[in-house]
Amino acid sequence: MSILLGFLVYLPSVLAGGLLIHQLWHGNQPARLLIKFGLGAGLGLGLTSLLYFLELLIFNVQSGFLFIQLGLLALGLALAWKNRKQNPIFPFSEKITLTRLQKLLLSAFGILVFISIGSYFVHALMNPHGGFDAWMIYNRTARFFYRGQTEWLTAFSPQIYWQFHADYPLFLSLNVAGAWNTLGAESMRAAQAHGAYMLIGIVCLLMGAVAFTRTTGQSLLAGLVLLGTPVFVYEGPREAADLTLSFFVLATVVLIFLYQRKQKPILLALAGFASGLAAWTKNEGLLFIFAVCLACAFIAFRLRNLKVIIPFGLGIAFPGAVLLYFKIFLAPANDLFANASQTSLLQMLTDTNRYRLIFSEFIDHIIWFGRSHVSILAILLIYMLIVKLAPRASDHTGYLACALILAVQFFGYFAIYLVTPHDLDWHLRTSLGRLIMQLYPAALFLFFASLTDPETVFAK
Amino acid sequence: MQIRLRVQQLLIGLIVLLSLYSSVSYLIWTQSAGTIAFDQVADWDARFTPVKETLPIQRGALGYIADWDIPNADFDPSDQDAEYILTQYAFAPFILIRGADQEWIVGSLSPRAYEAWIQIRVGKYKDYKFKGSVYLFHRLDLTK
Repeated sequence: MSILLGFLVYLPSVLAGGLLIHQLWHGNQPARLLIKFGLGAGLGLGLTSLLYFLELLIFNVQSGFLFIQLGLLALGLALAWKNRKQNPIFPFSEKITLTRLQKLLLSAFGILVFISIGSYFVHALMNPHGGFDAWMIYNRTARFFYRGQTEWLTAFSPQIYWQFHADYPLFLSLNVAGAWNTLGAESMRAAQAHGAYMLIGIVCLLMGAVAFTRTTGQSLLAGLVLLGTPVFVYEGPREAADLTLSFFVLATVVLIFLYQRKQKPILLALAGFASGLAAWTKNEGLLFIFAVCLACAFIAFRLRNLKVIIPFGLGIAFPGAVLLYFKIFLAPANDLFANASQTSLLQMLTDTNRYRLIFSEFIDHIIWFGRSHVSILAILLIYMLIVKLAPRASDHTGYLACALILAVQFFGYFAIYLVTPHDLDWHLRTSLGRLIMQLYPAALFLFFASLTDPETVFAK
Repeated sequence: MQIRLRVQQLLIGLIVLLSLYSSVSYLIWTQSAGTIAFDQVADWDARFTPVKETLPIQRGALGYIADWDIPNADFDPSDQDAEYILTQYAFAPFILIRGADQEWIVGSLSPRAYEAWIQIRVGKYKDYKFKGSVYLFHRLDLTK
């Protein structure tokens, strides 16, 4: 029962997100609807988290979480009803017909979904409080909010030991505390359901985006590889924020790619909103915003159109302003930069052993990423060499812009390890796998969006 | 050309099979990775419930001492670290500050560590003992 309640408590936000995006970006082809449903999960929960933060800040009451969600859902439903003729959801504008190959891939995907649900629930039941990061950071902060009620600001006390990361953004903790306030109890199933919605969002978004840019078969293959990477099913019930950040990295990359193809400013505005929510999820999101700004500048340069920055700026404004307020007025100093001196920075930057250690750990973690018995990277590389890349010439700007985002984020992580004040070995060991996971779904999108699809291979 | 095509088709099949294999392996692994019957975190939470009930305050900062604060005590640093994190999680919204500078101090001490700590502080603290090597100390002299 508590598992069901955990899912129900966030359902209004998820549905509202999908409905509102449907109003902003019209069309009801199945792939497009899948993208919108996937986006809706993360953006709906993100919008709820931002509004809930404002409610706490302005009124200092914690009881409004459900009302915010229901308000957003009512708005989404009202707009969907008002625009039902111009912008219907059903019936689909394209009839779904599957080839034999697609049916086979769909069957395999169905089996994989079934197994993944089993793994998810076994893992969730074994670890109701989630993983280490959940007790240390997100659920701990949620407890400060829920148990502290009107004194929730204690969660940002500088007296809290640095290891608890009281400076971390509040997306997840706020939504967990909001769910507890709605349910009237500290239900860990709510935190796990939040992770599950993010996982569902990632799967739908990745598959929808690959189907939209390539084919149904390619989309099913992408879904199979994603769910066949066990770390994703493992992360759902861990109640940490890395899966959420993965979602926003993927969402931003997909929206920027789609903008380049469709040239609809709303897609760039949504990309701005998603990247802002990435920074509202984890500190790594700040680096991500920088990477996305570079990609936008690149697109503006390639399209000879500086105006692309306007919708992006409008999209990022709300989450960016909330984050800025949090960082300036509430959050204590970050452990990575609190005691940094120029001398120690220079020492670290010129220490070749640090480069060697970070480089070898990156290689090792990438090759063996995913908690699988086989190297996913090796298989995908072999697959790419044999099946061959088939990027569309008209999408080159999109591919390059998205690759730029991932490259900047990747090298940014490398640079952060270089200057970390903590024991480098410990820092790499405890975080690198999760950082790679944050970029993995977006990398999978780029990979499958640029590769020959199975329909073409089997049609030869 | 025909061979290349067959290899491509085989690779697609291989990716499907490997995804299924990884997923099944993980499902099998999860069943050996723990048990549904015992929840370590809930157990740690419950360990400190009597301490929270004894505390006369509902908010604020508490001291925290464990074996790593006792000279010459045997301890595993990573265990001590995890215990500190779990204890802070259990005590939220209290802030647990390492050391004995606060008025109320939570102790998670082995019997030997407890003896070593209290021996040199006789009369300075009132101590409350709980099950599971858990202690609560009340500092009597608040001027220092």
